[in-house]
Amino acid sequence: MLEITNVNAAYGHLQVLWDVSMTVPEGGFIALIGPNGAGKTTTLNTIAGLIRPSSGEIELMDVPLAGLPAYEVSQMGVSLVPQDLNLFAGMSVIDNLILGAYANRRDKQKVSQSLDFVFDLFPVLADRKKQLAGTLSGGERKMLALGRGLMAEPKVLLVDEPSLGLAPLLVKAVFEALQELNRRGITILLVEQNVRATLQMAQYGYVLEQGHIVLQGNSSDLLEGTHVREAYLGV
Amino acid sequence: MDTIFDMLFIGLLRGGLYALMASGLTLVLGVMNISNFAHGELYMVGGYAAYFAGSVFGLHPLLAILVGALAASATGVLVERTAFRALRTMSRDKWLTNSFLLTVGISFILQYSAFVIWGPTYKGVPSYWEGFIPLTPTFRLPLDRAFAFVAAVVGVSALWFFLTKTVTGKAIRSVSEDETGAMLVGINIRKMHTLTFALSCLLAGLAGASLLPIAPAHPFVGLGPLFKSYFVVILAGFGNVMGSVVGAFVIGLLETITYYNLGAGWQNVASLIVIMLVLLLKPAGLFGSE
Repeated sequence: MLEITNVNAAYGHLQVLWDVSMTVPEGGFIALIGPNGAGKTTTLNTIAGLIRPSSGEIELMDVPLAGLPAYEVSQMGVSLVPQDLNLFAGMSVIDNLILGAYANRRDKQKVSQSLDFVFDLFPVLADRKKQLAGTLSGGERKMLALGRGLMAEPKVLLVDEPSLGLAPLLVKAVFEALQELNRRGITILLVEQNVRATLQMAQYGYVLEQGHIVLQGNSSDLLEGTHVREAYLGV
Repeated sequence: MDTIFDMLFIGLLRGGLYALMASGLTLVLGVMNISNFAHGELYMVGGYAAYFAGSVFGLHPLLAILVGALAASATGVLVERTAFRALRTMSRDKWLTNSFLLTVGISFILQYSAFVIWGPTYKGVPSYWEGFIPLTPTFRLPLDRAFAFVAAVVGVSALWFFLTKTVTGKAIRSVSEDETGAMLVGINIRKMHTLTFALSCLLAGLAGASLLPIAPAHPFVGLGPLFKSYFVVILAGFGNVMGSVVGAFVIGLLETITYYNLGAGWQNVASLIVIMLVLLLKPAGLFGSE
C-alpha cells in the first residue's frame, strides 16, 4: 500500500536518510525503531511531505507522493501524528477535530461519522469538546492529536513517538488505542523508542540506525534476534 | 449630560473605524506574521476607488463603497501574490524584519503612485447621504457618520462570524496557531495567506470608502488610520482579533474624552500614555497571552 524505495533525505548538506526502503501493507501495523538521532522522525516527515526527499520514490497505492507539499500528501490519505502534536492550542477540541477532516469538509455526513468514530475511541474528548486544546492534560493532548489525524479517514496513519513524555499508565492506554485502531482496519506505521512494547504490537519491524535500515523482519523474530536484544532490550 | 452623550457617540464612531482597521492589521500579523505598514494605503485605495466610482461614474453610494472595498482587496491580493509570496519563497530568515521593510516600501510605492497619478489634491464627496439623526436636542448625528459606524459594525461582525463559525475561517485561525499542524491536516497555507490578506485589505478599503465624505482621499490619507490601528493592536496584544475590537473602542473613547476635556492636541498623548502604562504592567497587551 505505502511503498518507500531508496529514499535519501538531507537537511542542507547533512544527509540523514540513506537509501531507506520500507513497505507498509494494507491493514498492517509496522514499527520503525532505532536509537535517538537515527532519522526515524525524518523518515515520517519525508513521507508526510514536510521534508522533500533528495531522491527515491514514495508511493501510496501506486500514486507517487515524493515531492508533493504536505497538504496534498495529507489530502491523498496520509495522516501524520507528529511528536510535537502541533495542535491548535487556542482552539477548542471540537474545532481541532473538525479541522482534522478539512479535506472532507464539504461532506458533512462523513465529518460527523468520523467524529462519532473518534469520540467512540476516546470518550474523554467528547467530554471536553468545548475546552481549548491547550488546556488538556498530556495524555488527552495525545488522544486529540491521534483523533485529529483520524478525522481525515486516512489510508495510512503515521504515528511519531506517542509514548514520549507520558506516564506508564497513559502509555499503555495510547498503545491500546493504536491496537484497537489497527483491529478496526487502519494501517499504521509507528515510530517508537519503547522497543519491546512496540514489537509486541506490530507485525513487522524495521530497525533504523544512522540513517540506514540495518535490519528488518517479523516482530517476533526481531524480538528474539541478538541485535535487537543486545542493542535495545539490554539482555 | 449632553456632552457625555456626545462624547460617547463620537467615541463609538471612532472606535468603529479603528476596529475595522485594527482587526485586519492584527489578523495579518497573527496569520502571516507580517507587521504591515502599508495597511493605511489600502484605506487610501478604498477612498480613491469609492470616489471614482461615486463621483466620476455616478454609482449609488452603497455600490461606490463596495467598489472601494473590493478595489482595496484586489490590490491586497496583488501585493500578497507578488511581494510577500516572492519573499517567502526566497527566504524565511529574519522574516519579521524583512517583511516589515517590504511593507514600508509598498507603502511608499502606493503613496507616490497616487501622488503621481491623481496629484496632491483632495478627492472627496460632500456627502453620501444628506441629513441627520437627532439623537439628543443638541446632538444631531450626520447620516454619513451613522452609516460609517454601521459599516464598521457589519464588517467586524462578519469577520468574527467568518473566523469562528466557518471551516475556512477556522482554517485561517489554525494557520496562526500552528502552521505545521495546519499543513498536516491538508490546509494549503498559501491559499490561506492570500485569503487573509484579501480580507484584511477588504476591511481597510471599507473603512476608507465609507469615511470618504468625512476624510477625502489624498495620497497620504492612510497614515493617520495606520498609526491609530497600531495603537490599538499594541494595546490589545498582537494577533488577537477580538481583543483589537475592544481595544479600538477603548482608544476611540479615550481620544474623544481627551478631546472634549483637554483639547484636540492631547488626544494622542492620552492614548499613548495609557498604552505605555498597559505595556509596563502587562507587556503582551490587554488581551495578549505571552
